[in-house]
Amino acid sequence: MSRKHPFTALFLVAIVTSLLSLSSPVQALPGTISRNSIVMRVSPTYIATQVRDGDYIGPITVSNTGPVPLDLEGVVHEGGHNENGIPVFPASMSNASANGVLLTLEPTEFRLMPGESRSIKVRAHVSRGFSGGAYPIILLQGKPAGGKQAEEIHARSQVGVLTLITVAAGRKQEQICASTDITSIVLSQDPVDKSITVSAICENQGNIHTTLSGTAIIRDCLGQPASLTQLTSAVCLPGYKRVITGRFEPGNLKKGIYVAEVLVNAGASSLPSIPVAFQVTDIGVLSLNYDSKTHAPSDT
Amino acid sequence: MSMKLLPRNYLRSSIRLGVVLVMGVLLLSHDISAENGSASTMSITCNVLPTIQASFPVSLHLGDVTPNPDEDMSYVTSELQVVRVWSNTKWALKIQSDAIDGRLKEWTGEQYSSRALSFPLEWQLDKGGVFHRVTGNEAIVAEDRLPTTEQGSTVEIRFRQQISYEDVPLADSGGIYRIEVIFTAIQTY
Repeated sequence: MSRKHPFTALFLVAIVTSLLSLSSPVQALPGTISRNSIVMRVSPTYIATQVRDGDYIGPITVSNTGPVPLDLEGVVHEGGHNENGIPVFPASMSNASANGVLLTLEPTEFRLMPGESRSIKVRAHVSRGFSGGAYPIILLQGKPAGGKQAEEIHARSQVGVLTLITVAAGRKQEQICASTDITSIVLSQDPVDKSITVSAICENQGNIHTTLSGTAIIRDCLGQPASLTQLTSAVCLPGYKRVITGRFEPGNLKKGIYVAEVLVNAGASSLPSIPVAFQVTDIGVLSLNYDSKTHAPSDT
Repeated sequence: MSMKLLPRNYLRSSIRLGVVLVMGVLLLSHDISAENGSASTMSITCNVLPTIQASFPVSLHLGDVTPNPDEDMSYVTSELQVVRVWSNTKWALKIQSDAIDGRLKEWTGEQYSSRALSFPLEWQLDKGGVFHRVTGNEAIVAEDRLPTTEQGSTVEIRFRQQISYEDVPLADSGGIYRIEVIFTAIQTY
C-alpha cells in the first residue's frame, strides 16, 4: 500500500501520531500547561524606588497566560523576610499603614480572559513626617472567574510583588541609615564533599534596607591566608535578620588549626570582623564548631 | 635649450597615479567629513524586569472516601499536583489554607458551616518525605530556587486526608467537605 499510496500512508501516520499525543496527559509534558490550571504572569515582581506622598510606582502588569478566565484581586501586606530572605507577611495593610507608607492599587479587582493583560497602577500614600524605608508586599490573587468550585480542595493562587520604598527625610536632622551588626557566625561542613560553609547572621536595626556583601578568609595558625571566598550578597530589611554565606571548596585545607574571618559590608560601611577558630583533622573533617559570641568550642 | 620628450608610457603612468591620488584624497575627505558630522550613532538599551509566571492546579477532588479501623488504611492520598514556575530571579513557593486548623469544613455551596473533618489535610513534597499539616500559617514548600529556563521549574505536591468514623457523611444535605489551599509564588529578597 505504501508504494502505491505513499500519501495515504503518511496521512495515517500523522493521524495516529496526533491521536497518541492528544491521549497523553497534558501535565506529563515538560513545560506545558494543564487545562485545569491557573496560569498568571506578573511583572515586575520587585520594585525599588524613592517616593513622595501621592507618587505612582510601577505599573505592574498582570497577564492571564492560561486557558481559563481569571478573577484577580490585589491585596497589600506589610513585608518582611526570614533569615534566608524568604518574604513573610507579618500583617495586612488594609486599614492603616503600620510603617508610614500605604499602597493603593487601581484597580484592586478585575477579570482577565485567556491571553489578556492589565496594568495596575500603584499609588504610595506617605504618612506625615515619615522618612526611611517601607516594604509593602503586593499579592495578586487569581481564581477561576465566576466559578463555584465543588471539589474538596480548591486552590487559590497568588504571585507576590516585593517593594523597597524609600522616603527621603524632610528635615536635615532626620537620619536615614541602616545600622547593621553581625550577631553570630556559624561554620558547617558538608559531610559528603567536605566543603566548609561560613554563615554570618546579620541584623539591621536601622530604618532603611541595606545590601550585605563581603568576603570570608581562612587563615592558618601563622596568619597566612589559606583560602578565600566571596559571600553571597543579600538584602536585609530594617528590623530583620539575614544570613549571608560563603562556601570554601573542599580539599584546600590540610590538618591544622585555622581561623575563619568574615568581612561583611553593609552598603558602604564595613562591619567589625568576628574571627572564628576551628580545627581540621587529618581526614579533612572540621572537628570543632565555635560559638562566635563565646569563642568556645562546641560539638559539631 | 633642447626639450626632451617624455616617453608615452611614463605619461600614462603619471596620469594613472594622479587619478588614484585624486580619488584617494576625495575618499579620505569624505570619510573625515562623515566622521565630523554627517553620521550619527544610536545606542539601544533595555531593562529586563523581574518576572514570575506560575501555573497552579485549580482544584482537587479526593473522591468518595471511607473510614477504616486500620489507621494506615484510613487515608486517601491524591495524585501529584504540579506547580510550575517560570522566573528570572530567585523564587520561593509557599502554601497555606483558609482554615487556620487545616481541616476541611462543610461547604453548603455558598459558605462554610461549623462541621469539620476530624483530621487536618496534609501535604508532602515530591514522592517521599514527611507529610506536613496544612494550616492557616504559611509554610515554605520551595525556597531559594534559582532562576528557571524556558521550561520552568516544577514543584510536585501530594495531599493526604485521614478519614475517621467520627466524620459525618453529608450525603443528605448535599454539601461536601472543602478547604481552600493558597499557593504563593514569590521572588526572594
